[in-house]
Amino acid sequence: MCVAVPSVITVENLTKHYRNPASGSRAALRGLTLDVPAGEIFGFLGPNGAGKTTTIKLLLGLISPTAGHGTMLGYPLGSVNARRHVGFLPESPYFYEYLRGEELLDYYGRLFGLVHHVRRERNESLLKLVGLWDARRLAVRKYSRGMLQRLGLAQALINDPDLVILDEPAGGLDPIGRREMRDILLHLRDRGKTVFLSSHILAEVETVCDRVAILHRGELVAGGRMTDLLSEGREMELTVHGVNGALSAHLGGMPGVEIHHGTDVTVVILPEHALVYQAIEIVRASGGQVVSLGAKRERLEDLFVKLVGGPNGEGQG
Amino acid sequence: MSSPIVVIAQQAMREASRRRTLPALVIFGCGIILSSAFLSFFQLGVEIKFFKDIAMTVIFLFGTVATLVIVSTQLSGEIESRTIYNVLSKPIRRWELVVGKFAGAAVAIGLAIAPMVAILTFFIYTDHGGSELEAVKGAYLLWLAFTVLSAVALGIASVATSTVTAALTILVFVVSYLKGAVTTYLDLISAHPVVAYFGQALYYLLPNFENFNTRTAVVHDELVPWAYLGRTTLYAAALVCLFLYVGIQLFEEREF
Repeated sequence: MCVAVPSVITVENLTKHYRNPASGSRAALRGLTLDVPAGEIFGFLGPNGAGKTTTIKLLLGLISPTAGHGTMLGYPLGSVNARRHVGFLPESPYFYEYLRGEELLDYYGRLFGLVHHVRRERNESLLKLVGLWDARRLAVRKYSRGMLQRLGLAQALINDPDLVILDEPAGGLDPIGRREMRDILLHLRDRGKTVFLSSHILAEVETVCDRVAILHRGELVAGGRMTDLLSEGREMELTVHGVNGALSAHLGGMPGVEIHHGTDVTVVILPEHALVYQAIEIVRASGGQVVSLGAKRERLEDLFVKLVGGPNGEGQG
Repeated sequence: MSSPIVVIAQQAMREASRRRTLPALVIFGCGIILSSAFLSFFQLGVEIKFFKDIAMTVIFLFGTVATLVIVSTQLSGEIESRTIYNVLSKPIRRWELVVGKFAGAAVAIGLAIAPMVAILTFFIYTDHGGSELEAVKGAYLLWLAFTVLSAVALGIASVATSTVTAALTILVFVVSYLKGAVTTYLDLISAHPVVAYFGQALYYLLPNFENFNTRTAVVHDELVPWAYLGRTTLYAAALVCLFLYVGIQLFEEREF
């Protein structure tokens, strides 16, 4: 039995044109139709200028659509009722520099109408969650870029939102910070929250997202479940240690085989399962060692480049 | 649980107090008034009048500067520093942001001129130099003028940068004071009906800030009638509503 998951965000034919006195009208978004199911981490991808931030601004009502419509949490886009249940982290967040970290969170909590004791509890738990508890009394102007990003995440969660919209949340974070951010996103999903994640860091998206949409020049070029988009093909990936010239020549002689030499190991891409035993036999006979063998899975980066990364950004999508 | 307007107003007041310009203006203004209290000692026979004249002028000048400093950065500063994204993504309406900013600025300006008014009334009381109540009435009318100026500035700030807001607000303020002379000059240079209509529109649309100036009455111990105070309060309220309404309409249409 298939149970329909309710959509948290639904947009249909969403279009945005910016007027420019010098160059006339410029289309930032062209007829975007999108459904974001509840309780998932949704990756929103695209190169610079693809229309990701424009979409987020339309969702939040910071700008008005030229055409199209949609709902967020069942309310019209940008409505106050929708924003009551949404947390938002803008790209490179900016805050009041004269406030201290805890004062800033308290102010945003008050804008959500949270009562004093709830604000106090959330401030403490969120500042501890993002690792800023010790810096809570420090003026925001003294925060580093990474600390500002952490503070931005804390303020996005102050209302315990049902939907969290994050625009490049890993910007400015060090590797440990990125890992912590990833853990927080996964924890939010485990609690039934929906995360709308706009990011350039494809490895991060691939790790945490259940579903992605790829935008290019204002148009949706791909979308769906990660497992469907990055389906395993017929190709096999054989990693070999101790490859010499003769072995390399032997393997290269097999039909349709690709060889990628690394510093320590060599990766052999076999076009068919049927070639696996033959390749292993060649490696064994030539004194090489098989390190690993598995189905070659397409990476999100490969798909992304295929769709949007051709010459002059002309993808195949 | 406070209304968003109250929360935004309190934040605007906190911003005004934490920026160093406003406390510096207050200290400087109070310093000048205190200095004039001792300088007036040399104005034999007219000491207290000299002091009241100086004090009212300082309150007017520093209040005007404080208004420009506070209000020109309230809304446009929020847009320029991009903090607006974090605010407008919260469950508040745009008109609540404008009204909250206005309310916060009006209270902050009142608090900024309060120490100067306190010094003025203290010296009037100790020198038996007239009615302290009339001085407070005069200061209240000046504060009304500052609230009108705040509404003008917020109206401009809804579509302009903080620098342009400050410049245009000063222009409106100056032209409003000189509007009688400007309309007379327009009549003189052209008899064209369009120019005449423009002059009339300018005359009626711009606030008449002279209505809020009772400095002469305070200096010479003349009474400021309560009825005048009431009428001027209504006049200020009407102007504030008009300029805030225009500002809100423009801000509602703005894209970020």
